[in-house]
Amino acid sequence: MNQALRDEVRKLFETEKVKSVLGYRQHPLTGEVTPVIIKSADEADQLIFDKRCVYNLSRAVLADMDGPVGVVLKGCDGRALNMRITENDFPREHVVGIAVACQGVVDTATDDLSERCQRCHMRMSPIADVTIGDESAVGKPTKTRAEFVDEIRAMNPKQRATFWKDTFAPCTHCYACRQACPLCNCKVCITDKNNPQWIETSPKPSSNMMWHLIRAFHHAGRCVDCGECERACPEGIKMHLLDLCIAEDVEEMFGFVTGVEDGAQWQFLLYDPNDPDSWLGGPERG
Amino acid sequence: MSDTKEPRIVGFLCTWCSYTGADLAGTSRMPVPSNLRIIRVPCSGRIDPLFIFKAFQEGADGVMVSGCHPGDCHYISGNLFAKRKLAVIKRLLEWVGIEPERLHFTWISASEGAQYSEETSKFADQVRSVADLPNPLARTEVMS
Repeated sequence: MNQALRDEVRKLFETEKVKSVLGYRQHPLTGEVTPVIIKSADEADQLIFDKRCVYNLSRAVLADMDGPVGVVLKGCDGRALNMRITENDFPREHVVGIAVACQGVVDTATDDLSERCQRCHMRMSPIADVTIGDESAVGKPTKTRAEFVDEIRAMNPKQRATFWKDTFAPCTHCYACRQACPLCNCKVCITDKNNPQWIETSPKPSSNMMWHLIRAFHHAGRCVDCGECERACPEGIKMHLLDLCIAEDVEEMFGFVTGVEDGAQWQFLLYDPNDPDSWLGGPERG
Repeated sequence: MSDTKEPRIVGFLCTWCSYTGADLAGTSRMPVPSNLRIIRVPCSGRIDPLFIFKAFQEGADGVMVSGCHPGDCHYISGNLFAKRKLAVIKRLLEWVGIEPERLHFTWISASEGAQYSEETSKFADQVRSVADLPNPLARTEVMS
């Protein structure tokens, strides 16, 4: 797989299809897998792809990079990239998707297959100008997202409130989750606006909840379940669970799965005159 | 009156329909609960989830949002956009433990003073039933 990847990248440089490539390499000194930008065919030999490639490189693509930019994409990365293109962060021609057959990546803390990969239903990137590896060998999810959410679903309002308060308690408002998220692309983040100040900067239960709520809302129907927020969190907060909860609802209401379809808009930018009123209230709703 | 807490309710009303409807209820001398504090917004599509979260954080026991009937929006489709947003806000708040009784969305036109009176009274009673429960978003810390 590594050799095929390197050969393809070299070919892309030689045919001048790309000016730079975002990929993964094993750091020569520390041995850790880190993201890397390479600018010529000679450098292609350092590229690797294996289960340690946890980072979502679609975050690293910038509109003012020397394009076209080749990006090594797992399924989740490709979906995030697709969403960014839909949201006009950069044109489709700016990127060349190098889709790799992803078998899932590890949880950096435990070295087991990460939770998000256990429930991943789309291991091949939807943006695939070049495909590396055997698409048929990527495997099927062993769990569903609903299984992860059921824990919360079973709670009553009071238990839910306590659960989230405890979950968010270690938050220091460092916003690493925001920095790591490929789809946190507001020009100015709401947390950086201080007149009026919607989200207090000091960590305390109410402001923690405020931040994580607005984060989840902004990602409702956009989150691609790449799990970068949890990986980046220095406190190990499982804030991604809230994204999953709301993703369940968005899928149920709008029938929308993020990033799978090219050019599919964020569902809040659309409306249907036939949207049912039952979404908003009525006794039958739970 | 029993010893249940009198709830505080924030109402976001669209200026074109519901706010005028509230005005009609007032000028027609219909009963409207005194718990409700109205905030006038240009359109229900103007509602940012932050408005609702902030209202709860600052101690509101219930939040009501009211706009024009679908199809009657002054801005053609503002309330239809709002419907999708509000639906997700409601679900999100339920996930974090806000009782569904604390939120109410409704469509009230400028001529529906009676409906306004009825809806708000009903909602105030509904919020009163949960007002004694702690609101998970409310600021519990001492302000510094």
